Amino acid sequence: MMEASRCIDLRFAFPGADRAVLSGVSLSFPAGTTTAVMGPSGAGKSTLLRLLAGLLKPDAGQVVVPEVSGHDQAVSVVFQDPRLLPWLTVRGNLDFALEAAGVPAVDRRARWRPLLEAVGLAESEALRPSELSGGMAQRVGVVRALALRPRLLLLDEPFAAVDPLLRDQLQSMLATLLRAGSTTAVLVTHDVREAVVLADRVVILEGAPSSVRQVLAVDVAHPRDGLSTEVTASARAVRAALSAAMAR
Amino acid sequence: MSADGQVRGDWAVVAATALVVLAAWEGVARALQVPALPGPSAVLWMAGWLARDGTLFTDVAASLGRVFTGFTAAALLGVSLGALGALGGRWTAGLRALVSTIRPIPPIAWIPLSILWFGLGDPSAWFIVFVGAFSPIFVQTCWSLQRCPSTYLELARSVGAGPWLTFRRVRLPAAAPGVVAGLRTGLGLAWTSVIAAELVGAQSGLGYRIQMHRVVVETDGVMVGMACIGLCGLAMDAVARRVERRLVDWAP
Repeated sequence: MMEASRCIDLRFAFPGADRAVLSGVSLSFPAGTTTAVMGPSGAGKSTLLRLLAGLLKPDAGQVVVPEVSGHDQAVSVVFQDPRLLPWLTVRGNLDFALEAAGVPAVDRRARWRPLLEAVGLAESEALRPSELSGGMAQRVGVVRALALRPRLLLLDEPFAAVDPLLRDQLQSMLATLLRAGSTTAVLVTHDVREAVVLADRVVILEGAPSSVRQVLAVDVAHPRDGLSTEVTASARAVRAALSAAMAR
Repeated sequence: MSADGQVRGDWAVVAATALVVLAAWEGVARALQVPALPGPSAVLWMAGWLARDGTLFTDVAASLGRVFTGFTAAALLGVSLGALGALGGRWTAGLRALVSTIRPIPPIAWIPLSILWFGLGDPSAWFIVFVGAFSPIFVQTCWSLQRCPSTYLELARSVGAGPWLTFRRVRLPAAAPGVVAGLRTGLGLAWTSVIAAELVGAQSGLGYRIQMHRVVVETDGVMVGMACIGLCGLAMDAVARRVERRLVDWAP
């Protein structure tokens, strides 16, 4: 059994701020599971993700990610915007991430090509980001993060900027990829249905400073249909918990 | 109207305006009959004469040669010192302050000093061209490298890119449109600077030729030199634009 990634008693305040954003946040992310992080605006969800990614340094506490082998990456991130480098093609963007991870040039294509095919972009590798639609660019962002074979995949509202119909398709695609690769993922989202479709549990952050208020298990069999009665019932429970958190 | 139609329409307006201006100029010149204002036909005749004589091409070549030398030096030093200024943090604050101080001094103000240092001739003109082109190249390189979008840098960190890879694959390409724009501005200033330098400190070139025609009150010769300066500047900018489009074709 693979070891879980964890964060232990995290505390973080932005420089110059009177109050910490997060305090005493401890979570475990069991291997192969997806955890959705939800909460009111300003609850520090994206800050938590950046702390897990190592993009911010906690004032106290630590993030523990199991050792990785070879050229795999401990953590990779799918940002809310695709963040493709506009001067590189799709291929160039994917190669750049793998080059940064130390993957030899001859092995890079084999890492991203199957993923690119899986998201329906097999014919797009020579295109520049300016030639991609928003949904296509975000799929490339997902492929880039997965090609790094991370111990912990971090998704920061990855589909917030795409239209609702496309969002449903991208959620199904992501669910398939996460389950196929037994990827451990942390998803920050405002979309309750997205959280329930993708996650095995939902963590609710709340307070000032924020900490973990509730952890709800999502007990719905995969593959999940966003319109099924089970998903709707789970979404209702999560929404009720969120409403209670916001009312405090 | 289609884009093609728009362009054709624009050209028609430009041509019509040019014809009206030339006709008016010719009319005034013929009416006044003074050496200080030759008509466009006289200027054209002089241009033909100077072209057949070969002087025109020799002078254009001399000016272009000086621009090439001075601009190449300015580009090499401006880009490398600009990069140093951007990436050196507080260690290169002195360098940035020095360039900011000399930047407002127009190239023409350096001419007396350059003659004292290098005498009359090519080295003096190279120096003036260098001074004219260096500042915009330095400033644009420094500014563009310092203002790399934080989202790109965060992405580079998130995939584990080290400082050198981040510089090579993220900072440098992100700064490229700004650097190339600086080089283009520098080239334009190099061209105007060489003419200024040749007016007082050279024995050949378009600026020198204009000055010689002025001394013997050949106003048509002066105007031929001025027209050449304008046309060469236009041609250089057109080439620079093409190079810019090729180098940073991804930029909006």
